[in-house]
Parts: sequence; C-alpha cells; structure tokens
Amino acid sequence: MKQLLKEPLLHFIGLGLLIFIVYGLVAKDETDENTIVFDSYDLNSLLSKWELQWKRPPTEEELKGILETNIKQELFYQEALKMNLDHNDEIIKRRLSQKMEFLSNDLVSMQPPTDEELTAYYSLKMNNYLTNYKYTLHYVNYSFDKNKQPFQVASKALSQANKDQLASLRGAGDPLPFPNYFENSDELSIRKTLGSSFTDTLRVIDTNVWTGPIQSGFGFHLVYITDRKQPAPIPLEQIKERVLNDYNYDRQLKLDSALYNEIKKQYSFELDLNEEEFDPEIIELVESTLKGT
Amino acid sequence: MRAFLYVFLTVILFGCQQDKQKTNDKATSEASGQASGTQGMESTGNATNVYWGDTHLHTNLSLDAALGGNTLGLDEAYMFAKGEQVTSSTGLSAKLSRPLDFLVAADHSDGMGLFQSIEAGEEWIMNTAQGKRWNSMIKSGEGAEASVELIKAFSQKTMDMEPNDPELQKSVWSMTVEAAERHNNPGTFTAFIGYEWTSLIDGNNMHRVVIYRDNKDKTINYLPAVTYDVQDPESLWKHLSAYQEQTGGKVLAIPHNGNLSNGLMFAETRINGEPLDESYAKERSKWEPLLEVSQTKGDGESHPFLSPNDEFADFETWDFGNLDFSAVKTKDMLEHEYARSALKLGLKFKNELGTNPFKFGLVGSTDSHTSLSTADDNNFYGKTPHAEGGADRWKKPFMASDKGTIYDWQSVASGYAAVWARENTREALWDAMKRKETYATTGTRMTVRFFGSFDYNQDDLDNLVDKGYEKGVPMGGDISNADGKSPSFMIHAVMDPEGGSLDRVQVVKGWANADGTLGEQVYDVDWSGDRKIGSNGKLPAVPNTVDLEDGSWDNATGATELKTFWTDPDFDPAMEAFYYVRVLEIPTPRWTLYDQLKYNIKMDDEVPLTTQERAYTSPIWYSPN
Repeated sequence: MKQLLKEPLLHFIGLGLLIFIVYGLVAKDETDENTIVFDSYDLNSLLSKWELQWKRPPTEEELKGILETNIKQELFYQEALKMNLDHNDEIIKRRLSQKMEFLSNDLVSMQPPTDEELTAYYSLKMNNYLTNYKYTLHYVNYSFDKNKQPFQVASKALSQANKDQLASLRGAGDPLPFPNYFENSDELSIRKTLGSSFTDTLRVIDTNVWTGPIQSGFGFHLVYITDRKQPAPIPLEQIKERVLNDYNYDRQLKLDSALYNEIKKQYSFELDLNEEEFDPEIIELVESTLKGT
Repeated sequence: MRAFLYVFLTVILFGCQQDKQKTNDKATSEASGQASGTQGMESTGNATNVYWGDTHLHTNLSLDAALGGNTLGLDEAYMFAKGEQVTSSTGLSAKLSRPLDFLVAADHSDGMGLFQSIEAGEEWIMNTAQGKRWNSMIKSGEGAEASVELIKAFSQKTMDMEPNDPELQKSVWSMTVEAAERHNNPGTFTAFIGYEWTSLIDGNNMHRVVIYRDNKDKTINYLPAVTYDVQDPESLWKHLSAYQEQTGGKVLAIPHNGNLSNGLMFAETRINGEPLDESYAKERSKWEPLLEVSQTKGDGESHPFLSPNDEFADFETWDFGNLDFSAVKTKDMLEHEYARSALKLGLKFKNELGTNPFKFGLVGSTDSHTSLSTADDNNFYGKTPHAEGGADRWKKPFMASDKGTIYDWQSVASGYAAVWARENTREALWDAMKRKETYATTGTRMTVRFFGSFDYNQDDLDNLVDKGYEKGVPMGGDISNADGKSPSFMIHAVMDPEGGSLDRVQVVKGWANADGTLGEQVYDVDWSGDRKIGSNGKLPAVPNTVDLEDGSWDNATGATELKTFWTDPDFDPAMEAFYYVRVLEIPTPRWTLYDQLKYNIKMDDEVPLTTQERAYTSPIWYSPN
C-alpha cells in the first residue's frame, strides 16, 4: 500500500479526485436538474454506516426510515441550492472553508519531501537537532542533612584542596544515594538526578579544576569536570523520522497559509467604509489586512 | 477559479522531483523492522529506573476541551511532553522544566471530534435545538459556557443528537493512533495509544482511562468503547476482553475521581443493583490494576471524615458533589470514593467472595484539558484553557450549579505517574503498570522504593534494591506465609532535586478484622531532623518556612533522603492486610502563591497559599492464605 501511495500515477488520480470533490462543492449538476441518481455506492454507504453503529443490518422498516430521511435531505438540499439559500450562510461558509483546509492537510501526506528538501529543512532547523551537553565529571556533596552550614563547609574544603588534582577531593563530603561521578553522561540524566540549577552551572565553569560550591536540592557541591562535550548536530540519518514529522507539521501550517495567500491574490477588495464612523487607524488596519499578504 | 485551483494544486504536487522516493522506502522499512523487533517482547528482570509521565491528558479532540477553547492538538501535546516549547491556546508560551518520559493522550471517546462538527455547524448538528444553540454560543465566544452545558446534557442524557457518529469516530481514532505512532520513540519517549471512557451515571463520575500495550496494527481497527448508551463499567470490561481475544493485544483501564462519583466508584453493589460476586471481583481486578488517585480535580487518597486520626488526610479535598454538581455529597458516600477506604473494602470482599475486587495500585495524572501536561506549582497552566494564566484565573468559577460553585483556585497542580521499569517502551511501562510497580505523586518527582517480605533484616538496607527483589516483593506485590514472623519493609525516598526536601515517610496499614469490621493505622516510620514522637503518638509538624513575600523556603528543615527498615509491630497473621507508603515534603508554595507574586494580587483568605507535596506508593498486600 505504501508503495502504491508513492506512484505518480496515483497522485494524478488522487489529484483528479480532489479536483472532482472541489468541483462538486463549488458547482451543481446543470444537465439533469430533476434527476437524482441513487446507485449501489449510495445504498452500500447507508447500510455500512448503519451496521457500524448498530452492529447489525437494519430491518426493512428501519431501512425505509433511513432512506426517507436521506432522500428528503437530498431533495431539500437540491431545492435550497436552486433557491440560492446557501448564499451568505455562515455555517456553509465555515464548512466549505474547513474542507479547503483539509485539502492542504491531505496534500502534505500525499507528497513526501525529497531528500534535498528534508536536508535543507534539517539544516535550517539545526538548533532543534543538537545533542545535549555531555559530561564526564566527579563531584562531592556537602549535604543539608549532615551540615548546618554546607556552603561554608564546602568553601573551606575547596580552599584547602589542591584544586588541579582530581584526587585531592575525590570521595570527600557526604554520601548521596547515587554515584559521585558521571561518565560521558547526557546533561538530561544529570538534570534528572541533581536538578536544573546544577546543570546550568556545569555549562559555564572551568574544566579540569575543582570548582564550586554549586547548589542543588541536596546540598552544596564541588565539581571537577574532566570532559565537556558541546552540543553537536545529530546526523540526519539517525533522526530522519523525527525530522520528517517536524517537516510535515511545519509544511501543513505553511501550505495552509500559502493556499490562503494564493487565493487572496486572485481577489481584489474594494473598501467602502464610512470615514466618520470609524477611526482612521481602524480603517488603515482593515485596509492593510485585506490587501496585504 | 477552478482552473486556478487546478494549477495551484498541480504545482504543489508535481513541483518536486520524483526520484527521491527510494530513500523514503528504505527509511520506512527500517522503521518497521525495528518496531517488529520490540513488539511482543516481555520485559524481564528487576526494574532499574523510575519513569515519569501523565496517563491522562486531553487535547482539542476532546469535546469539552475544544469547547473550552483548547486549540492545541495531539502534536502539540506530545511536543510539550517531550520538553519542547509550545504556545498555549491562550497565547502563553509554555515549556516543562523537565521533559516527561511517557504520555497517554486520553481524549474522550464519546463525542470524539464532535466539537469540530458543532463548530462547523454540520447539518445533523444544526437540525437540533441544542446543536444550534451551542454552535451560536461558540461563534459568539461563549465556548466555555457551551462546554458546561454540553457536559451536563451528556451526563443527564438529554442530548438531542447522536454524539458518536461512527464515521466521525473512525476518522478521529485514526488521528489518535497515528499521532501516538509518530511520537513514540522506544528508549526515549513512550506515546501510548489510549482514550478516556467517560461514563457518567446521573452525573456521577465513573470515568476510566484505557491504555493499550500495543501498536497501530492491533488498535487502529478497534474503535474505542463509548458510553452514551451503556454506562456500566462491566460493559467496558467486556469490550476490553473482546479486544484481547480478537487481536491478541493487551489493554488495561484506570478509574479516576471517585471523589466525584457520589459513592458509586467503589459501591458494594453492581450498577444493575445486584450484590458484588466473585466473577465481578475477578473481572474488576483483572482490568483495573491501577487507580488515578490524585489530579487537578482533587486528591483521592483519604478523607478526614473517614480517617479522623490522620492529620494529613485532608489534602486538596473535593467533597462538594458529583461531577456536574447536580447532586451534593453526603457523608455515607465517602467510604465508597477514596483509595484508602476502597482498599479496606477490598479486604472485606476478599473474605466474603474469595477475590478482592478493589486490588489496585496508585498513579497520579493531570486530567488537564489544555494539551499541556503541567503539575508543577511554579509552572501550572491550569485545568482548562480559560485558567491557563492571568491575574483573575484563581477566582473564575470552574463549575457552578444551583448546588454551589467550585472556583479555579480549588484546582490542584497535580499529579504525575511514576513507573518502575527497565526501559522506556510501551511494553516495559505497560507491564509495570499491570504489575502495579508504580506510585502517584502530586506533581513532585521524588524517587520512592518500597519492598516487603518476611525475610528482610536491617543489614539488607545497605543493598536495598538487590535484596529487596531477591528476598521479597516491590510495591504492588503480595506476601503470605508468615510462619510466625512479622512482615518487614524497606523504604527509600529521595527528594526531587528541584522540589522541597522530605518531611516524613509513613506506612499506611489497613486490615479486616474477624468480625467483618475494618481498621486502619498510619505509622510515622522515618523523618527529618531530631523530632520526637509526642505523648499523643504523633510526630510534630515540620515548620512551614515558605516566605509569602518572595515564595522562597528553607530545604534545611527537611531531609534530602530518608531510608528505613520497618517491621509491623501490630501484625496479626490471621487478618487480610495491605501496606502502602506515603511520603510528605516540607511545605512549599502552592500555585496560588506563585500567581499572587507574579501578578501582584491578593487572594481571599480562604485560598491556601502553601502545600505539602506527597507521594503514594502502590500497596503490598498480605494474605493469610
């Protein structure tokens, strides 16, 4: 099925179908004004709709009922069109305009992007596709539980230590319920363990030296970063599906507004506003909204 | 005009080269190959990680959410849960401080997509007086009011229209399933396929969230159960059972808001009036392994009337009436609404029927109708779009009827579901939910371990996780064979690094006496500082250090972690019993205080400004046989 959906011919048929639907919406059948064609498709769709809802076929009486209802609706609909009752009807306007929006939605799923398009999109939105910071670090904890003034205790320990030597403070302080080092760890996992204010500080402090005190919910910490990897682009191949999702999401929004603007260009607006009734700023705003793109 | 459209659509469709399809084919087959690799895989071994999520979030596909002004769909809901910044329905920019690990977009199966039909004024809607009225209300900006009317009409069964048009349902369900497939990323983020079964019986809340373990292949052609014609949960269980039989898939349901059921959620009779029997008990405990115990519409762990000796039982209590406030609450209903009393009733039925119908573990979730899963008090976007933000949101009425008014300040920034599993996949997380290895929090992300056994000793604490699993069971498990010993428990709670420190760890015990009466006791088992249990048997409260002028507090009054070994001093091997853990944080600002500071306003005196966030674990059950 997926393969079929990618056939250009099928696109063409799909396109034809869309046009046909659009045509059906905007035009009425002018040849046989008083003939209603009721075919197998119509009957099947009535029956399957019933069965989907009630999990059984309708009885004769029920079938007669739904037929009458549907025929009445169709006839009234046709007559109403002839009488131009659809003109300037707010609800019909909304519905038809919504169907135009659905058209652009369908188009997105029908035409996947080319490699070039996806790569271009990926490059443009590169900031969304970076790895997190990664760290290899050791830290020590002066906990709120064990110290009355953990900041002072941590500061003192730092001032007395040989700051360049990892070994000078490694293993010092109070134990925590998780390891006192992270090895090539994603920033997110450190954030889950020690909180955001801790990881925010990690981004800016010097490496290969004991630094601190840095606060977390648990206490004050001294940190020795041996390796800090800056965010780097994740190769497109690894996240193709995600980029494709984002691409389609953006494209749908864009297509909708492109369709709107294209159609808008086909129309001209004539302003007929009473200058005494409205402020000049309001008239200007209306004018620029209607005529701008 | 038509010629122009033709040209325009052609340009869009064929403006791109055709030869790039191959790479896409390859990507598709690789992706599906991956999916089949994990499918049906059993997760084995001990749970190593706690995963955070929301099992209950509504998007604009939910009728009442859309009517209330929610314009954000499934994509936005997932993006937000994954930690991305989105713009809310009312134009606020919103971002979680930490992403979630999983999400269930649980839109109401009843009236799925109906809003879009009402808004569009489709013919079958406009043929009804109600439909016409709601359509014009939405157009004139009174969507929220229309939403309230609609919920009332639905719950009182006075809808003029068929809310579940099957074609509409089919198309909306496929949107739900496809979006979950798009955003599910095994190992990183789990997007469950699910929905909410929104049963109301005369306005009494019987809602369940339904969660599938399975992927699109099994779920896409199986439409959700709806409730407009049948509200009895037993009909839902039949529907779930038929799903499993027909597809070989797996599914579970999570009830919520017993506090709005006016005594119906844990009633002692079936909906048809018959007394509970063993078959009912088996079905219920099979399909409903969990209860959503805390959310925006109140906390459901305990009630002060039921637990007068528990000074923490009155937490964010909503005991005004039923869901649409068409009937007020009476005291006799309470026993059949709250988790603790229901767990106790379950023991009674175990003795009478041989099976415990109310044998459930606990999770929290938001039930937000904003597409934004927020449960942090300092980052709370409200229950509904009209309460996402603003200086006045606290005093807006959330629900009003002739019985009274509930205001938005009463809504709770709660909660999240914590799940112990080995990996972040649909299968592993669902299996953990099924075995109840979960706990609820009111939004905080504290880590809680809880193990029970007859064989632990104090030294096992040093190797709590390994020994916990090796010699006993984790939260959600069962113990028996006392063999002359008393059960002991190992508990380890670690604070949320971005939250308040810990006040105390408590064990809540419930039991069934031989004479059919039920008992409960709350034990303080570990706490911060050097407080002593008083002559009244109570541990003194921790001081409230919240500064109402700037929203700060002092974590030094609590503990960063509490770890303890506890043996039941009052154990009677002849009695059915359960034990669960409640962990309290020290007092921190409630969302109302953050609002007061942010907007520089003063709220009425009745509005609470501080809160004690907490966690509730799933119980461990003891049975003599």
